[in-house]
Amino acid sequence: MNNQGYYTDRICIVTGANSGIGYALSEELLKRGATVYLLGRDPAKVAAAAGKLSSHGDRVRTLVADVTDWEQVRTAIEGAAAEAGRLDMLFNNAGIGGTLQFEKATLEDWKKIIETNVWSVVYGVHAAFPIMLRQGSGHIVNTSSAAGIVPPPFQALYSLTKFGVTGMTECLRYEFAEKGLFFSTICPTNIATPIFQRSADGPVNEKAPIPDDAYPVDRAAVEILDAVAERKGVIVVPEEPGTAVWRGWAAGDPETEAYLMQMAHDRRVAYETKGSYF
Amino acid sequence: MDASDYYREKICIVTGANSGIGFALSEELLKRGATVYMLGRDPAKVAGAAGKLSSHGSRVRTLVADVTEQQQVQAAVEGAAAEAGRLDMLFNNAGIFRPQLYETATLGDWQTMIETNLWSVIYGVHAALPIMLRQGSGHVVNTASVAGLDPFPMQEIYNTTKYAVVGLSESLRYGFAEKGIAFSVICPGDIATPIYSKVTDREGRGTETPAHAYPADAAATYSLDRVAERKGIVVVPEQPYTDLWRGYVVGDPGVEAMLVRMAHDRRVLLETRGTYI
Repeated sequence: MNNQGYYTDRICIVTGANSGIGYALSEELLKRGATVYLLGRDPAKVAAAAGKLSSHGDRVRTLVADVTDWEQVRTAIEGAAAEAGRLDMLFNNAGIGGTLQFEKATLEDWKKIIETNVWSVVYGVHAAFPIMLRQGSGHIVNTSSAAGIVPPPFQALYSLTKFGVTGMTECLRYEFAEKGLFFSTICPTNIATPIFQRSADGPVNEKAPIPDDAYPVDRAAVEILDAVAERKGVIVVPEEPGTAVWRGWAAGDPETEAYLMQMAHDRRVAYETKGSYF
Repeated sequence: MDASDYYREKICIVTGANSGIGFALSEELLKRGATVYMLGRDPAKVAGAAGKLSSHGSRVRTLVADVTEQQQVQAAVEGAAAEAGRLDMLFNNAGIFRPQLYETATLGDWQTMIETNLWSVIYGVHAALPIMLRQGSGHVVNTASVAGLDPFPMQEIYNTTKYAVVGLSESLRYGFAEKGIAFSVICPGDIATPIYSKVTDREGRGTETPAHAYPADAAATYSLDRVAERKGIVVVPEQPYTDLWRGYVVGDPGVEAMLVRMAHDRRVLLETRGTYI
């Protein structure tokens, strides 16, 4: 299949579209000819993000909804599908980070990250899926994480949510293959986005640095959409070293085990001495 | 480490201990010399299960709590640790299973399974970990499933919760290794337990236990041997599920075809009879 053709004239919704991977996916989808509904909670931020993409004319649209609220998600998705006449693709991308010491996590932190990273995806799928089943076509793309296939230390909350998203999405891929619906799971490693400023256990910290070795977000979006167009299931981006670590962990490879144990040690030292793993 | 010594005189809590893998784990822990608090929601069932193990005397104890209620879990875990003077092992084992066509799943189905299979584990770890950190030792053993490793179709809610338990447990294993706290996650395949009888078809008939299902007592023995080695992921029985998992991870075409075929077969069964195997 021609990658470019896959997105031409497609009606897409992208959640968490204000910034980060969601914004980069929106921009790349627009470049490839799709109509994109940028969805976010904050009307001003959604409008600003759409404004930056205004050269794409009326193919740029906006939706305001809190992804942790079922009624808002349903209204937004059904409204977009009604306006556009159909819904071809849903990118459940909104999410928050959660790298912290487990012993400091409160039950409120757990609730917040499960609502934002798991329930948002359940709600999105639950709302979009009947529309796509009626159409007999559709593609749902959920943003998980490399931490949704390999469990990094000090990310127990985050990893729990992202493993859940991976398991859910992969199950659905098999379940609906013969019904003409497709499911992909994006597993990004460190991508240069504001996620490093948003952890489940605190307010947004705009001073938190994005790591120097983080992968450029626009390149990530290109690779993701190329792989989605191939209807790939799990999409690790960049493909390496994430894929190798995943396979090493599953195989019980001693080097991978040592790598993760070392990461745990380094992060613990950083937390106990500096209060942060950066 | 000698697997049989690992459990001697250890203070253990097992949730979902009335039946199935929880009961088998409790019995095997008792045989290996542990003190076991069998935890369940229904006082009569917990007492009945403990009664069957009464030959182990005062090492058999009971706790009544609903694992979906955080305060009940915390009170039970802290109470047991206070009574026994410490808490060596917590087996977060309680859980439910229900395959279905996704188009028939309600948000209520999601809520129920996430509470029972996921929040119960979070509550358990949250209550036990501070105690274990103070002690400088402890071992938390969570029951996930091979469905926490492989995306078996027509059970995505269950898989979502079990994948989440694997991710949680393994992240914690690395995170607390140097603090002396161990984490294991048991991933059972088809084990001969009452879990099947609870999956009913349209006429309300329970599913028959598959002929190939592994005996629960053998599963408990094998699991506790691996847990004593402080293994992270314990797949039981080890095969064919370990090869299946690794095949899935490397994108093996045979495994891919098997999962696609399983989706087809299960859809036909669910659409015609309301059952999945």
